[in-house]
Amino acid sequence: MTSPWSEGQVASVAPDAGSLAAAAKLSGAWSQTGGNGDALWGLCQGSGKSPYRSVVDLTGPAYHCSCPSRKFPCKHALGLLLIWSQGRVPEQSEPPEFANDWLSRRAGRATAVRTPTAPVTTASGAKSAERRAERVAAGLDELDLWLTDQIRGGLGAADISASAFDAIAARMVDAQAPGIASTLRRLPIVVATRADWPDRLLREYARLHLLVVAHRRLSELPEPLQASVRSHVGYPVATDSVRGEPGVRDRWMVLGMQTTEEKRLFTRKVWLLGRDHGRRAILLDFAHGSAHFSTVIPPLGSLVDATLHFYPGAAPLRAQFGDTHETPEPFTTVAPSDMDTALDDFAAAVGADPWIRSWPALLTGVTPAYDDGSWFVADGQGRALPLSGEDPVLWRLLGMSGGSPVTVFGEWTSDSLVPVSVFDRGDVYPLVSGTPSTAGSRR
Amino acid sequence: MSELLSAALLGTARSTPSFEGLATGELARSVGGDPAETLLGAAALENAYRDGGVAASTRVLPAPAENDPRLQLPSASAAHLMQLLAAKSWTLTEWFAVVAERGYRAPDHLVADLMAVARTNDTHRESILRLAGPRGQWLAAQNPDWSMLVRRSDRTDVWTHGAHQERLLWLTTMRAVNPAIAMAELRRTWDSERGEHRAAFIAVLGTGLGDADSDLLEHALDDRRKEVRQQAVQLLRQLPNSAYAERMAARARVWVRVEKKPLRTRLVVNMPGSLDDSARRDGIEDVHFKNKGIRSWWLRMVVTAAPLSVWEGMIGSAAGALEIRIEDQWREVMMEAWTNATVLQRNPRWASALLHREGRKTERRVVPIVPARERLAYILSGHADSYLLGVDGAALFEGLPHPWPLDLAERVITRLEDVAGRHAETGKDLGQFSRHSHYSTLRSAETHFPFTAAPLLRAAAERTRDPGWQQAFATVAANIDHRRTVLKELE
Repeated sequence: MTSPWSEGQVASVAPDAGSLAAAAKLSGAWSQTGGNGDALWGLCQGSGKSPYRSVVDLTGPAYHCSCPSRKFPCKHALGLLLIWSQGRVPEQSEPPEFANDWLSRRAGRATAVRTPTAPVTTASGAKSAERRAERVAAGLDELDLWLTDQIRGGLGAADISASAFDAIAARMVDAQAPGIASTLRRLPIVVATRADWPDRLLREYARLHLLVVAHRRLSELPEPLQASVRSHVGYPVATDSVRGEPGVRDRWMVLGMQTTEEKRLFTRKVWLLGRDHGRRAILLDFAHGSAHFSTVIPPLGSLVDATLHFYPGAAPLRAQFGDTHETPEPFTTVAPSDMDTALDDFAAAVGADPWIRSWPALLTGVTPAYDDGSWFVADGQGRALPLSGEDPVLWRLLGMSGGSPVTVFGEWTSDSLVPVSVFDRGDVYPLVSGTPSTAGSRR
Repeated sequence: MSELLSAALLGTARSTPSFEGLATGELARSVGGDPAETLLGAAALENAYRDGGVAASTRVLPAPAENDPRLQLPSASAAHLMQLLAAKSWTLTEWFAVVAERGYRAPDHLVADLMAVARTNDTHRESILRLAGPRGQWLAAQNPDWSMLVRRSDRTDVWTHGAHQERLLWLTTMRAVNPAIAMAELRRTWDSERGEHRAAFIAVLGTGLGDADSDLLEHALDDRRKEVRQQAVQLLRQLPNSAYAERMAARARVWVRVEKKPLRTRLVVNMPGSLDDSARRDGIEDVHFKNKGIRSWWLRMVVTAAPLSVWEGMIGSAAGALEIRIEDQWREVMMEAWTNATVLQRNPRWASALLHREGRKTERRVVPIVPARERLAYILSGHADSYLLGVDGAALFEGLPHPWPLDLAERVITRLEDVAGRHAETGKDLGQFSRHSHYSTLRSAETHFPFTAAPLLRAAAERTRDPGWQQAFATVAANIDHRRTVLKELE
């Protein structure tokens, strides 16, 4: 049988701390528990007559339970994992009937998925790409007309209702420019929440107009910038083609990690910094329905010797893992990095790709502070940059430092630093979820 | 940039954008197209230029948090802490006690989250704040949402300048944390407080009440407001060392005396015909129960408020007092008043004399005042069996050594197993309330059972045939194991 997870590993799949606590309380309610190879099962007595049937497929991991909970995994599946981690699930050769059904159905589905699909022929591929480019071009012309109309009539008099932005965004979805559609969909929030919304709106309109102009003259642009324009518009990039890009090998440090959810779409963002060559990278993963991502990434605070393949672009940042050469191990130091480096990096990135909104920034030996209603980080010389982000994140950062210098990692967004994680005495702590990294503190 | 923005707000149909004052003004002129397109192009250019050209400003850092020399919580415990808090675990009280005893501080990365929990968690607020220590206080002082969590005694500005509700909250909290400071602040401003505020403040003094409070309470006996006077009397009755108690003792000695004749020692009561002003000032009321005998009402008030030591001096001992002969007319009043005085003055000698005399009929409020060792012996002797599991039983357990000795746990489990057996035999509930109240007895005992009780509970689960009880015993056994795990982590 797969060797039991640690309690920390079980905690890492829990949807929230409450579920985990509820799961621990079930400890005495189990019967007919068993495990076999990569699966666990058991009956859990709840308040009703018949017990809940809970099954876990550890390879996914995937969970199945007869309870009506909408949490995923539910407290029963978590409870099963917990007693397993305590060595209280006996090994059995055959799963009982209540588990077998689901497990065999899963096995069947997995085989089906692995069946290779016929590759798209190059000729029809090229043809559809051409058709897409035409649709996008037509859509962007329409967008530009809309943008210039807004400016001609004046932002003060324009329709800035959510439905107005929604209509033009929907048109961009039809025109197969999803990157632009999502930019437009964010605008009503800007209008509703920011006092300086006219300034913000003008910025966004200018950015979109520049994108339209660049798209019109796509063929005149250098290759990397063409790729940037395509990705901001929202052309898809085939994963396989990224793997074809030349690899960049380094000892990559995992500096930050964040999972966000929007309409059941979970996005995991992982920030990396090459220890030897100083290059920055972002790994993006998506999952529907629950935060279970198909790719496995090393934990926060660890370092992995690996080859990365970058998505093409004028300021390449997004990447995919290629070959991993060593098993990950924790790192406890980072090279000093100051405000000038962060600002210069951003300037260089914006110079190469003017549509970039943010760039990873590492600041060593800075002190976060809240003074007179504003947040900032200052270095030993009193030079300061503004901080922004959600309140709990900023208070966590302040509590971490207690007014003494720490190392902050975050995203510089042209006017403020949005903190993501903080380093102190060799450990890395995420600021977005509040749970400490296990990589550094396990030793 | 403001020139571009005002043109954009007004619309290029009515205004012409000016590129003066733009860093990229020269280049902007070369952007082609109609005025709207030129404006958007110039804005894009200027944005990129400005985004790339941001420079650091200069700021002065506020003072850092005080250093906390305590040891940091072990990492496994730190990881469990937020879970225990989220689940409002029963173990937390015990957990925090061990943490306080060992002198741990919270790891820095949890301090902000702990303060957020402390804001809503009334039960463990002070324990959380102690764990978060000076860093938590430093943080709370900066966040307006956490001002109620500031516990530094030098922060009396809330008291001197706050609104009434804030001042009341400050006094209430400070009374629990440092009663002397709260009293000192209250005494300073007492005479200038408004009447209704004095009534509200004096009500708070029940928390942390001690001999040091008697001066202000004595002063409050002359207050213009009746609520203030009444509240002062309520509190003074709990302070047997005060001047007030001494005056009550003097009255008791005048009204009640021991008559010693051979073989006929008895208590003789001799009540006055009227009250003087000083008695009225001390809260002995002239108006109550007129039809039932105003004099027995006076006697009850004086005996309740007089120090119990008066009777010990007069008669010899608490047990002796409870046995002495009293005229029939006064007997009931004396016994009731002594019982009340025992509760108010929390006198363990009298409580234990009452328990031994009254047994199962002992007033519930008296039981927890009996010294824990005596109560334990009483339970183990089997005398308490009949109400050990009832709602009243809780008073027996209050303040017993933690964890309970194994033989006490064993006795409770045996009694519960009897109940489980009856449930299994009848095949039905003995009324939903009964089962529920027994489960809750088991659950509240859970936090006090020694770790060695887990095998007993598992054995009880094996033996019982009632599925509900089977699960109840097994769950409590598992919870004790969990409790052992989280407490072991603190070592």
